[in-house]
Amino acid sequence: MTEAKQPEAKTPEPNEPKRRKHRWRGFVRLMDERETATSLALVRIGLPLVLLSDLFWVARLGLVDTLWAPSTEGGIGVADTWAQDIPAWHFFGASATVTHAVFGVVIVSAITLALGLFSRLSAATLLFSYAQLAMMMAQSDRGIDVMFRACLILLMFSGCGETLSLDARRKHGRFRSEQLVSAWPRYLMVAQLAWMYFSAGTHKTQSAWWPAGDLSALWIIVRDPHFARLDLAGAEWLYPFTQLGTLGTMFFELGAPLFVLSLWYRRTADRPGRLRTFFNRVRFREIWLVLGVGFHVALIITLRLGIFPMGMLVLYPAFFAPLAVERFGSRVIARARSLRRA
Amino acid sequence: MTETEPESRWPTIRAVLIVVVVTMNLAQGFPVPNIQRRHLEAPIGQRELTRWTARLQGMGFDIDHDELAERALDVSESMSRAHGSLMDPVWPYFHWTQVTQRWSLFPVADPDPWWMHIEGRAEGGEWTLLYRPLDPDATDHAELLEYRRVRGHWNPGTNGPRADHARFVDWLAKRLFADRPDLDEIRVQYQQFHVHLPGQTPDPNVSWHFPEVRRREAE
Repeated sequence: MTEAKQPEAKTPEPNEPKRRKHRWRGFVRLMDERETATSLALVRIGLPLVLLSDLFWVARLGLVDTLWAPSTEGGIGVADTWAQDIPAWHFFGASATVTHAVFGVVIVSAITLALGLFSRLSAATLLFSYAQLAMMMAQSDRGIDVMFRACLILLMFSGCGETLSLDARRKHGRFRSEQLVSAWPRYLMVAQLAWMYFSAGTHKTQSAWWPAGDLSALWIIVRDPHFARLDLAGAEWLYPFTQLGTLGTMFFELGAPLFVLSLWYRRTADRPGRLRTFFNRVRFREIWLVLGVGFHVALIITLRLGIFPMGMLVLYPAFFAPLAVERFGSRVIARARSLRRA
Repeated sequence: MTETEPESRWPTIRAVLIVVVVTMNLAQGFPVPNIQRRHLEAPIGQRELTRWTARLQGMGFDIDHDELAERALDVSESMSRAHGSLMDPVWPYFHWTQVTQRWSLFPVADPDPWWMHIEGRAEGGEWTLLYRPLDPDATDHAELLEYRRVRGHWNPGTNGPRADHARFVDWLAKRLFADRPDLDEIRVQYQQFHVHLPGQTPDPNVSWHFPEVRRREAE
């Protein structure tokens, strides 16, 4: 009996190729789905606004030359002395004037993207000019800048300018439109965000992030004077809360793939499966999102991380289907109106 | 869609392209360890090595502290080399967009953090503290120094100061001398202290590192 069973175990089931083909077709259909553009339109507005607030701060502090000009004209960096290929400097010469021009292009394209004017072109221009600044001074380019550029690639290929935009006004005569656009850029943005969190979690191999190191990482980080917003030297009673925070951070970051799985389970809630039922019953998606928002709000309160927490939060509309965003928006508007009437 | 309508190939082509791009990004972001000797020689590296050696020995592996360090370096180097060759053909995409997919947000919580001190003095005078993060009595140029892109230049990593730290001090000195005619010298240095966990005995010892002094140039 055992001998008779062995060949069966090694040979793939006759319907396996069909199943694979079915899965592939499912994936093709998923990437072919269409939806209104509201979720990504909110990202299209939020991302450049956060970036603009950051760049206006740079201009106000008089840091444009310091951060991005060539070393011969007041820049701290020495990228102009390397054999690195920075197109703006390569074609127009390494000078402060060219740096100012690139900075100007970043500002203008961020404004037009936020307004939804020639949205795809604006996203592409912003992406490549922003990348020039990163090449001119890598040390000034932080994680949130990289994340913004990764999202700009997706916005560039999306129909994010189809609503809440001047493009919609030009095409349809009004700012809001229900024009359907490809959904895949939003799906990929969800994947991008989930990957960022998961990747950050996998890099946290130091013991302090794990029970073996007493989950002490956040306590140590909030005591780092270069990042801390408050001096917590005498606040040892906070230690258990930071331990809980460390645990929550690891669960949140390493749980990002489960969040993606929970989105799939929510979509296919009518199918059988214990894990699917469990995920939907415990509302894993909502728990993870609440943890995410809480995580970034806690960062705003406790650490000086510049635009990072706010920059991440403006990408969160991508996690929600446009219909949910529109319903939420309608509820908020209705509530505001009733308050105003009252 | 009716059966007589020809099926467009575009959705399939797009799905293939998406799979290619996602695979490329995931490959770039694969968490290849980048361990270098100086990482392992740092106090935090030594502590991690000790912990991992104990952990592996507890699991029955016959390995000591130094052997583990050498193996970690070997594995890291060969993995980095393989990853680099794999990514070579698609590197222009990541270069032109300046996007990478390795995200390390506070991977190391350093229990021996740095604390920058900026001091100034008149010729032959006493050093006066001008700026120190988190010190409400030393906030000279705080807004400028605490801006995230500027902090990227002065905040040392686990391995010490950034490559352009000396140029940062040059720039800072120029600004301080312009704003403070009373100063003839400025000094930037970093105190290293130990963050003790509640229940541990506090370590009062501190050490000073990377001092950089600049003198006002004669007019």
